[in-house]
Amino acid sequence: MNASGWLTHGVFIAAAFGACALLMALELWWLRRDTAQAVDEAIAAGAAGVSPVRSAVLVQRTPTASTERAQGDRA
Amino acid sequence: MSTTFKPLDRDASTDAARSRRWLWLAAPPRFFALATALIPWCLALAAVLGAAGLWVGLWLAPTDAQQGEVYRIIFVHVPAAWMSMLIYLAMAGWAAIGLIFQARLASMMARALAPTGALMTFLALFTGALWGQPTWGTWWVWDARLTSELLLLFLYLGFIALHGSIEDPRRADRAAGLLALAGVINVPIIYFSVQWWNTLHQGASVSLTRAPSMASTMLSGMLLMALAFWAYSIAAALMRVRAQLLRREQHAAWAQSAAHTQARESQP
Amino acid sequence: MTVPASPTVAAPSSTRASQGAPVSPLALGGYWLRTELRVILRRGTDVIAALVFFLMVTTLFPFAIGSQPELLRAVGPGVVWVAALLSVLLSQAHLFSDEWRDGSLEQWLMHAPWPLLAVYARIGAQWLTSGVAITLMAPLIALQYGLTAPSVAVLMLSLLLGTPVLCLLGALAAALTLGVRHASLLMALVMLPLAVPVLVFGAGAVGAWQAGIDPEAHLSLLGALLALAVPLLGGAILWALRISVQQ
Repeated sequence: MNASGWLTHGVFIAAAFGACALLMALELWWLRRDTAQAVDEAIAAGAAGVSPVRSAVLVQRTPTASTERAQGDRA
Repeated sequence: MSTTFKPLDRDASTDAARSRRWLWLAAPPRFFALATALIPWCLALAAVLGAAGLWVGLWLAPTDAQQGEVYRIIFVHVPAAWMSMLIYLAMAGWAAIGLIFQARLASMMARALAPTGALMTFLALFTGALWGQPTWGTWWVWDARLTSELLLLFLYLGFIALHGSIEDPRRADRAAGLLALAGVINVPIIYFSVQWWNTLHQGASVSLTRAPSMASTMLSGMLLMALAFWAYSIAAALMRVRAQLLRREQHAAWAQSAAHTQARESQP
Repeated sequence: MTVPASPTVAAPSSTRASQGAPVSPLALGGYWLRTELRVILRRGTDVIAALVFFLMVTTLFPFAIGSQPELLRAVGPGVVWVAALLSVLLSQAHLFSDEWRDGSLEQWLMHAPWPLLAVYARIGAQWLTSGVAITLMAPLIALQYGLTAPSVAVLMLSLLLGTPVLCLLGALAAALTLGVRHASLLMALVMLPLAVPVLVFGAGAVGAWQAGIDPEAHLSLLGALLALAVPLLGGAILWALRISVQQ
């Protein structure tokens, strides 16, 4: 093991701190972009005139095979 | 004769379920507002703490007798490793709340934490390799800690993949949540077994855990960086949850008005 | 595809229960186990395919790493364990999917008297036809890799203790990924990190023996994992099944 300094191992140190900064910046940039997209989609949904109370999450229930069969029985 | 679809055997529970849903509906706008307020503070805190940590780590902390300057990588490696484990714990905690109390928002928090946790894990592995090469001569060491980090990365990726591959959001939340719980119980077992495996095989006579003996400046530097990473992770998770909320609730009135507010504010 | 097992599994219990005769869980479990075995063995090709896959993987390694006896003897136990892990994983890809697809899974989750017992019966039957079979084939692999007889004994014991845990983990992965696209891939991603401790202790037991160390510690750790896994994973699998059918 050699006592090393900034010159000899600066690359590694820079790569480590640089990767950290880069990844975090990348994540924040991506999240900003994602939020902007979500905002656009929400505004578009509002403009499309869908009723604000009718939430897709509330009403929708993925039908399973058995419930589909039951539905078929009652139809 | 009604031809409307009614859930099998669930008539008695729909009223309770509906009230639960309304309860849940009541929380998101408040949570959204809270997140919106918190994010800039967390980011500012992260910046300040990070600057302080970097100052301590890169300037104040003394040169190590054995490893020279390269040891300074621990100021990223160790905080990232700590955060990777802390975030997994937090993720499992939120998942448990979401599972047990049927709280959708809690499950969304768990999902929002996962990518940041995976990033921290990757960063720990990457910086570990960068530390290992000049110090020990190899890019990868089958060190107990590093190997456990690698497995933790796979646990994160499995969680994200499982959640992403299930179409129904409710089932995705619950299935991934159960996986997170199974993972968190397994993590000590995995860590123990990897330690066991490592010592018995005596492969690596060197260990990345044998960091230079901690001067107090080094410790405070690592602590500052860890707190900075923590504040950053909270900000990132809150940002992710906000976007998720906007998407899932885009038909709700509050979401649309929030979106309009956001759009107005982001315009220069 | 063949008829799914659940209708035959659920029917006798419900008729007997409805007749007022109390059914002992032991008798019910035994009945279900036998039924599951019958169903699996009806599709005999699936069982044989998994075992041939196991043999094939162990055969592949010497081509890739060379056939030096010392190398093979050192690597053998690990290779057997990884091949066993993959074979168990593959053979569980469709553990619950038939019943899930036609909706009978939801029915017996709601109506079966001891759903947890039914889960154990299915996994038990699957283990008997995969894990046990793999254990019995270990001597064959010993020939390929030049393992000594005592090593093989330790290997078989470790497989006997470890493959049930692998089956339970695989079943959990299968239950979580029901109906998902590319479920097998996802199952592997979900299961493999959780299976590492079993791998470490299982292959490590044989490695310890080969190094002259008593494998007792490894084997008792395997036993401890098994004791933990049966109750905890059983409950988790049932929970995962309920999640997958949205109950």
